Amino acid sequence: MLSLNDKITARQLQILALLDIFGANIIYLPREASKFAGQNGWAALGLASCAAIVYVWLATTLGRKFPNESFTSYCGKITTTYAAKILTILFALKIIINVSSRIRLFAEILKSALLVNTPINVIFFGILAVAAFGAAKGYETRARVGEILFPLIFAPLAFIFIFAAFEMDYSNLLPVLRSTEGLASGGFFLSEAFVGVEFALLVHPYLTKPKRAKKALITVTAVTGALMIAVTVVTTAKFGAYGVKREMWPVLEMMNSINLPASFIERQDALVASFWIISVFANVNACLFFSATLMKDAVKKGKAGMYVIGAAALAFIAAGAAANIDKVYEIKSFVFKTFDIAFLFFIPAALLIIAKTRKLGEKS
Amino acid sequence: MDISEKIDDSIGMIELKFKDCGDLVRRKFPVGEDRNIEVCVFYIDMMASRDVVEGSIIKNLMIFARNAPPKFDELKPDAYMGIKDGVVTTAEIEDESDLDKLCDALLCGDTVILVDGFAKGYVVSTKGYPNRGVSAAESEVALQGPKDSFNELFRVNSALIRRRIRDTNLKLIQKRVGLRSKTDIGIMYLEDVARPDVVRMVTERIDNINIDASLDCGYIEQLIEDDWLSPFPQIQTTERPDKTASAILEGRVAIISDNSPQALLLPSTFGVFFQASDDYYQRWGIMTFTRALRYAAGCVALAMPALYLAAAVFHPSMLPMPLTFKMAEARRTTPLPAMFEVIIMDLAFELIREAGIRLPNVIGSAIGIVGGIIIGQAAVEAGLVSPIVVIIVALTAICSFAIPSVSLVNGYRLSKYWLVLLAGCFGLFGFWLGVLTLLIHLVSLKSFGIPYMFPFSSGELNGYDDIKDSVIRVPLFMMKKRPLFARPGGEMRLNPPETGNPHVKE
Repeated sequence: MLSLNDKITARQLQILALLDIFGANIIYLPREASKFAGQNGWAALGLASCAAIVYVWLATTLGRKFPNESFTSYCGKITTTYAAKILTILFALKIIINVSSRIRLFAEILKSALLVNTPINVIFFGILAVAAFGAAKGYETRARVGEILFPLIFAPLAFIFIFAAFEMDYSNLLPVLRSTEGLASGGFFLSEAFVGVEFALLVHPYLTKPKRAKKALITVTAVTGALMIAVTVVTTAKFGAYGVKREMWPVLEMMNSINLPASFIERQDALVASFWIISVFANVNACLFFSATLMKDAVKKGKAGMYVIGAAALAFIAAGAAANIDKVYEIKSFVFKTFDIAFLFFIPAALLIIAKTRKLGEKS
Repeated sequence: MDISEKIDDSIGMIELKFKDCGDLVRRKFPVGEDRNIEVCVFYIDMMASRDVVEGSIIKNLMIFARNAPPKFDELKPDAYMGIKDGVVTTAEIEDESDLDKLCDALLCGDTVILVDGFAKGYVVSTKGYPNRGVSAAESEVALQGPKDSFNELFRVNSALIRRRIRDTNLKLIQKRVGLRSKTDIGIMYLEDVARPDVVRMVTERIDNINIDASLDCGYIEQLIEDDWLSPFPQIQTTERPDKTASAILEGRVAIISDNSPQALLLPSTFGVFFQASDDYYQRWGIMTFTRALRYAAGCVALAMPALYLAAAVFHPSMLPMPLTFKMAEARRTTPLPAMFEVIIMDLAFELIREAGIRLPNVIGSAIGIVGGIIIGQAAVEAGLVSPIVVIIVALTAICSFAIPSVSLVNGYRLSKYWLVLLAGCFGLFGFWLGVLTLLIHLVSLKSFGIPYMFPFSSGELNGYDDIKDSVIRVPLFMMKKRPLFARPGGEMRLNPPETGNPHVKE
């Protein structure tokens, strides 16, 4: 029949990837970009986008060699079964740590903008419960939810940004690229925002036409990079590089300052934050789904739903573990410099080299 | 068990089966010039048409069979066939020897004729139940287009559809459902358009029904739907033959049931519940506007109370100051929390709606006045609820009436409380969590293998062609392909000529 075969099309993959990568990062990304490269933060983000495209190229080239196999399966063929299981479990745990820090940051934003009196644990629970419900329904359901959410998230944001773009003072971006200081390090560290592209290592068995994954994911990474650059440009133009660095959530503040024509809503930031709930849901949902899938592949016992619940429970505990936001950023930075970069670049590169050397998998 | 050659034994067997059934009519009499062949006629009063029984069977047997040549002596060696071929003047007549089947035929309104000396009887089709005729549609009123609607007679309903699709590819598979009710069920579809896997699935599911009685097609709907836990309907119901014919022409399968003035249409996607039959009878511009309005009404009916709660209780700063002050002033004197206020008013409205449906029309309108004006106004004046809540609940109700499908509105009525609960506890965050859970549920639903949210999700399956008949309705000449419901190879429904086409600039 036509549904619930857990396979998706390249277009659905693009939508999911856009939702997975965009996430809650964008709310604070201009601040991080400005910290590294001042008014040239957008250029640092451009370099980060290029790095992300390299990550995607590695992951999809590897995945294309084993189009119908899971990460555990092709790792086992390239290395050994034990090494594959260790890599799989590390990957799952890394995804859970990433999602927990993302949930924590998101909950902090939500608490400051919308739910001042609600305990933060309730916010963790709410988003994790709904994301787990979606993850337990399978990959095809995720893709369908993504297709409906996509216009819901991006249409209002695009509308608001177009108006914002006309109101800004672009002289705040000058001088353009007079100094290249911080660009390289910014490009490297900001590529953390694209950490969702690591799922490219896992998606091939879920595609109706796995060979299309490479082109689809490289395109969508470039588009996401362009969107992030556009948001950073507009935010920096609004507050200036110094102002952006001072703001905790510069994009929310920028939203709040826009006067939409004929708008009856006083605070766009609250409205936009509520739209971001959907975006974060998509990201958390992806993390729970893939971490549960990885754990199930490693253990090879039980039902997928149980692993989703397990992953959600771990993420809940981890999200509340950090004492404050600064600690969350520290953990994020540590995980990025070690595990994230390993799974984004070094491990796929190593696996690809070994596979090519040993002539494993399908030829491109 | 077979009946006997001796007519008295067979009569005894039938009478034993129908013991204490006062509506069974039996007439035994001799036929032939010398009156030496006993015949007995059975039928159930008012189930069989008296005109047919008396005019085409009894009259012929009693009068013409005695006078008409050839003489009965010549016929006697095969009197049984003689009666069938020369006496009974109805088109539908069959032989049957099984006692249970003869009884079933009687219970369906047919007439049974037993002839002495033969261990089988005739089943003559004489169904003629009392019925209310073909009347105008009541719950699916259309401004333009045919007014007729189904009634409770199976054969009338099938004829109303057949009249609209005069094609031998229109198939009608007949089944009986219900161990005691033995309700006639018809599965109607276009053989060269409907998906064979859908037809097979429908047939299998109906065959698997094991119930004592099916009194309405609602029984069938509940017994064959995909997900019984969902508040949303996965099978469309309609009382309009034109809508049914249109669905069949799109490749869908219709199920009609005896005693039910409605047909079931399947597979059904979320979008079809927003379609009304006159969407296609009027011009596309206004109908696109109306369609979009219905979707907007659907969103308001589902989300308005929850959004009010989120804005009024959690995020009043989102709204313009004058409106925030108005709302605060209105809520100043109300003793109840806003969430309870909304729930109580909404439940009051649901009660009024329920009472209005059950009562006769004249009193029903009075209930509306009492509920809407007196109770609503009194509750506001007494300070129990704020006027804004009354407006919100009334607006929600009006929007729900704009949705053409009652079963979808029922789904909305239940889902609305889920959103109210979450938004009342967690504001916009809760509202979005509620929307997301509903969305996840909706996209995971399927109706006979077709994704429920098609074409809003998985639109690629049909090249996004079905978007043309979703929130918008493009001009008819642009709707060249049938929706996803049609089998591969049967998609084309409109082939405008290359030349002489007024819609193509030449």
